[in-house]
Amino acid sequence: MIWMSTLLNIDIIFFFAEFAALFGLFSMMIDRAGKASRESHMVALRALSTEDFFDRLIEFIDGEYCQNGIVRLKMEQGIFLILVICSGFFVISGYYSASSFVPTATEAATAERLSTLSVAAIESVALRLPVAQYLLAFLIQLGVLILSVIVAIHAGFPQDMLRLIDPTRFKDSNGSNRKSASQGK
Amino acid sequence: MLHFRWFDWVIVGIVPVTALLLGLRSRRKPVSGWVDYFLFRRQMSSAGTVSNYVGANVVFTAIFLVLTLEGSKRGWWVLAVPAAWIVGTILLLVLYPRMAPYLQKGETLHQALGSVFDRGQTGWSTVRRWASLWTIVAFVSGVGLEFYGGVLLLEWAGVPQISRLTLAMALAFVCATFTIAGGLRGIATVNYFLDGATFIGIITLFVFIALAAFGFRVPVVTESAAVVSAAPVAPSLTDNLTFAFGAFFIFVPMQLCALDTWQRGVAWKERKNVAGPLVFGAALVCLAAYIAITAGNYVRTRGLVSQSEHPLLTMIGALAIPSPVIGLVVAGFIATILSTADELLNCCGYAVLSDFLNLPRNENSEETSRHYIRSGKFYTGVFAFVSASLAFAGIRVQKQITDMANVAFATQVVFIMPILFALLSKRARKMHLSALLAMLLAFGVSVIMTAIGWLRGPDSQIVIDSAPLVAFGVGAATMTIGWICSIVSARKSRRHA
Repeated sequence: MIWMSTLLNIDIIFFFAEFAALFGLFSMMIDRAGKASRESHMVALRALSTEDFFDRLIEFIDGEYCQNGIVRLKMEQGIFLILVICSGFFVISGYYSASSFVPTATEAATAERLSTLSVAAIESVALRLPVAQYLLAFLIQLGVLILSVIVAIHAGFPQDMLRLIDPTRFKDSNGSNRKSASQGK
Repeated sequence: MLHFRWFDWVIVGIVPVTALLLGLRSRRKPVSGWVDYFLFRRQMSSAGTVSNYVGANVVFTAIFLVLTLEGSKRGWWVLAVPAAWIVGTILLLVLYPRMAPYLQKGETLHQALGSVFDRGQTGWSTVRRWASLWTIVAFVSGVGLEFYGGVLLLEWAGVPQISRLTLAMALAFVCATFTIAGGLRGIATVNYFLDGATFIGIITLFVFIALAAFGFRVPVVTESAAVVSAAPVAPSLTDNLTFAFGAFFIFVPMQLCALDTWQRGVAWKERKNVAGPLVFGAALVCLAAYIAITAGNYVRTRGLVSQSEHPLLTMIGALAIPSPVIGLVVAGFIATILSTADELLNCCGYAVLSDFLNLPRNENSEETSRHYIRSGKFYTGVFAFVSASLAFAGIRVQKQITDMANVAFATQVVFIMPILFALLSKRARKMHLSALLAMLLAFGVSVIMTAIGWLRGPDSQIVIDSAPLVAFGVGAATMTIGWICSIVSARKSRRHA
C-alpha cells in the first residue's frame, strides 16, 4: 500500500493547489468584474450557462483566445466552476461512501498501517473512500489542475501574481511606473 | 459527540452562507482609495464600531475553549481574565485622548510607533516594521486558533467524514471571501449579523446552564465523563496566582496593543464620547467570558471533568440540549469564529501594504489604488490559508489549547512599554534603540520560555503561564534603562552647551 500512501500525499498537495487556484481565480474574478461595467456584475451568473462556457473553451482550443479582459474573466469563471464541481464531487463522494462503508478486517488493518505512514493517509482513512472511487476523484483532480494551470498561464496569471505580491511594480494606464513613484516618497 | 439532525445543520449552514452574501453585497459600493478600503476612515458609526469591537474580541478559542477548560480546573480564579479586560478598557479610555492625534491623522498602531521612534530609520531597523511583523504573527496565529476551534467544534457536531484539513480550508475560504469582498466596511456589515448570531447562541446556552443549575433540567452523564477514574489534580495556589498575573499582563494591555483597536479608532466617526460604546462593548465581551467560565465551573462542581474530552463538549452533552436549539448554539460559535477572523485578517493585509511595502497613503490614481486593494486582498487570502494550515498543524501537535493561545497572545505584550512611552513621555522620540531592544528582548523571552515549558512537559505549566509576565518585566526594564540613559545624556549635552 506504499504506492497509495504516496498517491495520497501527492493528493494533499493537489488539494492545497486547488484551493490556492480557487482563491486566486476567485479574487481575480471579483476584481475584473468590478473593473467592467455595472452589468458585468452579473457576469458570474452568465458564466454559469454551459453554452457560454463551452463557447469560450472552443475559442481557447481553436487558438482564437483573445486578450480581452472580459473573455479572460469568463474563462476563469469556467475553470472556477469546474474546480468547485470537482472538489464538491470529492467531498460528496466521501460522504456517500462513508455512510455505506463497513471496513473489513483487512481494510481496518490497512487503515491502521496507512495511518502510520503519512498525514495524507489518515485523511483518506477519515474520508473512507474506496480505492476505485478515490482513484477516479484523483484523476479528475489531476486533469482539472493541469487545465487550470494552462488557462492561468494563458490568462497572464504569473504576471498578475507578481503584481499582486509587489503592487509597486504595477504600471498604470498612463504607462508611468508606480514603483519609482512610490520609492520617491 | 453532539446529536445533530438535518435541521441543525441547516441552522449552522445559514451563518457562513449569510456572511458570504452580506460580504459580497457590500462590495458593490465603491471605496475612495486603498487606505479607505482597509480603514474606512471616519465613516463608521458607533454601532458599527461596537459591533466590530465585540466581533474581534469575543474569541471562540480564547473565551469558549480556554476559559471553559481553565474554569473546569481552577474554578472562579479564571474571573481574573474578564477583570483584566475591564481594567484594560479603563486604561484604553484613559489613554484615548493621547491616541486621538494619531487617529486624527489616520495613523494606526504601527505608524504611531514609527512616527515617534523611527526618525531617520528605514527598513528592519524601524520599530514600525518589527511591530507590524509581530502583529501579523499574533493575528495569523489567533485566526489559526479560531479555525482550530472551528474544526474541533464541527467534529463534535459530527462531521468526521470530512477531513480536518478540508474543514480548516473551508473555514478559511468562507472567511477570506467575505473579508476581501468589502474591506472594513463589509466586515462591519457582516459583523452585525455574526454578533447577533453569537449572542443568540451563547445566551441560549446560558439559559440551559441556569435551568440545570436551578434543578429544572437533570444533567445527563455522558459516556466519556462516566469513564473518568479520578478528577485531574487541582492546580496549587501558586499556579492559580501565576495564571491570574499572566492573564493580567496579557489582557490589560491587549486592547491598547492590538492593531484592530487602532483601526477601529481611525474608522470611527465619533471620537469625543467614546466611553459609552467602549464600555458597552467591553461588557458584552465580559458577559461572554462569564458564560464560558460558568460553563467550566458547572462541569467542575458536578464532577463531570474528563481527561479525554473538552469540558465544553462534556457540558453541552450533559445538558442534552434538544434539536434545533443545539444547532443554534453551534451556529453561534461558528459566527464567533468568523467574526474574529475577518477583522484580524483585514488587519494583516493592511499591515503588509502599509508597513512592509510602504505604499503611498494618498494615491491619486484610481487605477493604481484599485491595484493596491487587489494586492491587499491577495495577502489577506494568503494569511487565511496560512492560518488554516496552522490550525491543522495545531491539531496534529495536540498541545493544550491554553498553551497555544498563550503563545499567540503573548506576542502582544511586547508592544505595551513602547506604546506607553510613546503616548506618555516626551523623551520617547529619542528612545528608538530602547524601544526596538525592549520589543526584541520581550518577544525572545516569551518565545524561549514557552519553548522551555513545552520541552519540559506538563509539569512546567507555570513556566508557560509566567511567560507574558517575564516578557513584560524585560520590556519594562529595557525601556526604563533607556529612559534614564536619555535623561543622563540630555543633562550632559546641556552642560556642554
